[in-house]
Amino acid sequence: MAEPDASLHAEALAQLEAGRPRPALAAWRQLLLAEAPAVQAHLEAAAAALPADAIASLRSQAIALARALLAAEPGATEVAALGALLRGWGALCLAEVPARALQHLERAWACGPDSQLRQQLAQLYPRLGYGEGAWELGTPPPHTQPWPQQPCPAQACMTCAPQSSVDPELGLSLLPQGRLWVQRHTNPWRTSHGVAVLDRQGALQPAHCRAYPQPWPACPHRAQLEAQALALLPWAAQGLPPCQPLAGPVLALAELSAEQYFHWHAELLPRLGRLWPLVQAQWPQVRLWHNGGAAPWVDESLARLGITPQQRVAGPAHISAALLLVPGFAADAGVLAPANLAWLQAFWAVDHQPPQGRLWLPRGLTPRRAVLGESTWLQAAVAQPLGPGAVAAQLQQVAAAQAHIAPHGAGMINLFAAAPGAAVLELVNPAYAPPYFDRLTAQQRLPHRRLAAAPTPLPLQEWLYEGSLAWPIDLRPGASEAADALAALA
Amino acid sequence: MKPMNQLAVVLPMRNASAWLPQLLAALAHDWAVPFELVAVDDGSSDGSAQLLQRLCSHWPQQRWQLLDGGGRGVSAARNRAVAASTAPFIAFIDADDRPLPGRLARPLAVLQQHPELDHVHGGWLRCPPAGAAPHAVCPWLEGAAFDWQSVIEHKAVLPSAWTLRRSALQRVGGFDEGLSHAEDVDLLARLAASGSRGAWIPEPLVRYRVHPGSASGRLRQHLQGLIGVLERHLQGLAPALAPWAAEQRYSTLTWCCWQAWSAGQPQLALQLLQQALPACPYPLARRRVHLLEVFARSCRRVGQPWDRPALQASPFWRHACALIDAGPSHG
Repeated sequence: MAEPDASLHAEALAQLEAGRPRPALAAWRQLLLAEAPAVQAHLEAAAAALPADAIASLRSQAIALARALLAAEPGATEVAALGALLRGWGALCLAEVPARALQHLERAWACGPDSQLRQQLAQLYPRLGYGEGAWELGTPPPHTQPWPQQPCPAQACMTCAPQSSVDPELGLSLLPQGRLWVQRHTNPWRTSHGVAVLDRQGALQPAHCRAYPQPWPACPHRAQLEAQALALLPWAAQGLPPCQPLAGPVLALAELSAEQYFHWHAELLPRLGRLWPLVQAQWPQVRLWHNGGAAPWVDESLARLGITPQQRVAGPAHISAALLLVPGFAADAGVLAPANLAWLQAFWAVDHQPPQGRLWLPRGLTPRRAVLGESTWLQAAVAQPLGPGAVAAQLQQVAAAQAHIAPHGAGMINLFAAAPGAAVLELVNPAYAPPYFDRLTAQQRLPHRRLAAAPTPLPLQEWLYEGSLAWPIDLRPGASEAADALAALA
Repeated sequence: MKPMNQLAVVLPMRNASAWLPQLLAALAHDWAVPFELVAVDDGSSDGSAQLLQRLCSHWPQQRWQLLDGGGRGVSAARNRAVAASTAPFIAFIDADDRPLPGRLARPLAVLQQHPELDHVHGGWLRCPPAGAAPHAVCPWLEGAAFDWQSVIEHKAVLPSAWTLRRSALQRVGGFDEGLSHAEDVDLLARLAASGSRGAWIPEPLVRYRVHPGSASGRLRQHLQGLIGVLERHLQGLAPALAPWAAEQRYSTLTWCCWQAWSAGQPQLALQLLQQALPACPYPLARRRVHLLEVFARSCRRVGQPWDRPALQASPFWRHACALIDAGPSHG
């Protein structure tokens, strides 16, 4: 359960940033060898997930570099491989997470700069205030895009202020010739990164606009971050597809990351469900546009709402409508508002029988936040795994369980259907444990424990994953307090 | 009852006869301000003391006094003048600078109206030699403030534009007489560390004359003095402030590098850069970029012409880049 040796890692980074990649790699080799079993488990999990991995090429490079270092002292080949890897991550982060991109690209410099790297940095540096200095590397852009300030890290933020907020009423704005667009991530996941709603004059409607990074509720920097979102959105508009005009009234719902199960269920679907009957009664010809994608759970939800395929507008990320109907957000980003929770429970009409047994919400060896050791615990019959199937059927399984074991990200939003009093054991990476489900479990009176899995080895944290939200939940036996707790249940 | 003189104007001088007539005439513009001039002759050999006596001979005796500083340096001279005066407010003026109208009246009014303030500082017009146009230096526009971290970051102080409450000055013991350079930065930092409150008067209050004969002409000693003062104030910081302190050290040294380059001393500039590099907190990729930015901003701050392509094509810049690319071990 030892923490990774952060001082050796810091020393390696300092060597790299000072232009000495070989000593840096030698220090990292030491770190990898010191945690060889954990490293091997992470590499194997990542390799197993490659066929489904949107960034398989980049992750393959990281796997190869780590394996090379495990096998031998670093040489010129490893220096070049490190440079290529860091540049790959830098390019991936460049558009939306410039701070991370800068870190990767500045470190890649030590492995050998070239004209492309110089130009990438010349594009970034003016945004940090080096408008004149950037000329040393290349040609800076004529206009300087704002540098997104990140909110406090989630865990620090939790101690900053009580995580409560007053949910606004679910209003509906009517915008004749209104326009809406969604900024997709430019990375391979293409999830929604920003949402903009404009009136016929092209003026942003702040109450309907959002962009990452988003503050937690009660964040003291909230106003600053919201202002930043409004400043960043016009830049995103430069890369939009052409606007698709739509006839008639269109109910348009967009959320950040709405393509993900959590955000669909916690935010988008309840807003839609609460308004759809009212809107349809007033505008019988209304059609629906949303940015939740076409996953099976989306189709199932819409069918259950009675929204036919003919009533849906598919696809475009940039629309205008003769009459654009835009609901308010009804809650802070990432928060399941009480009214939304009540609607979900009524909508899915879960039948509560006397609960029994433990249910495991599986996540498996996905490319992002893989759960290492999950199969071990399921084979040990710690809990019954949630079976595959439709949302409604899964929710019935959730409702029937007396206790839930859930790696963070394994569809915990389904706990809205849990039986009152059912215990929840949430398993998290120690570096990524956001309080998304605290409010839900509190509202549902579900006793909720959060246990930390083993930390992700250094330097794999930076080579193998796009950020802490993708770090695996390492439940290998004996490696963490979470694993110990599971062993006690076996 | 208020003492007659509300403001002591502290004037240390050494071989200042060339400047005294203009200086005293400018002070006389603020005659309505109840000030007392306290001049300290700090070892002049050009008859400055006699000239001052002559120029002030028609002033009422309670409006001026001349002291002998004994050649102990500017800090001791200023302290001596403060000790010899009784006014509740102290304005400093250096002999080669010229007060602008309001230099005395504006700060006095602000300090009298704001008892919570311990000191106020105005901007200044930087007047280069050879008749170049003056440039207004306005540190508040760059975010300079009077809390301790801001003082260390910006080091924005010019005694001739500075007015203090006597009690605040006495609380920190006045100028450090052991310092012959950057004693003003040191005093400002000690005031900030003691919790004193300062404010900007956002207008130029004085013409600051840049010429080879001024204190900053002795560049190497001046810059090393500044670096020493900074180091003194960065000692013993909490570990959490270590990264910030590293940035301050590096930014100060690179600014000194620019100062030497700007003064036509490229060898000194390269030596200062070498001195800076072992403590550089930036990744290798950023170091040239940062230095170029420091040069650009520093030039703009003082109204000096900025020609980036010319600098980048210069032998100096090639040497500087070679030092940077070689890394700290080269230094």
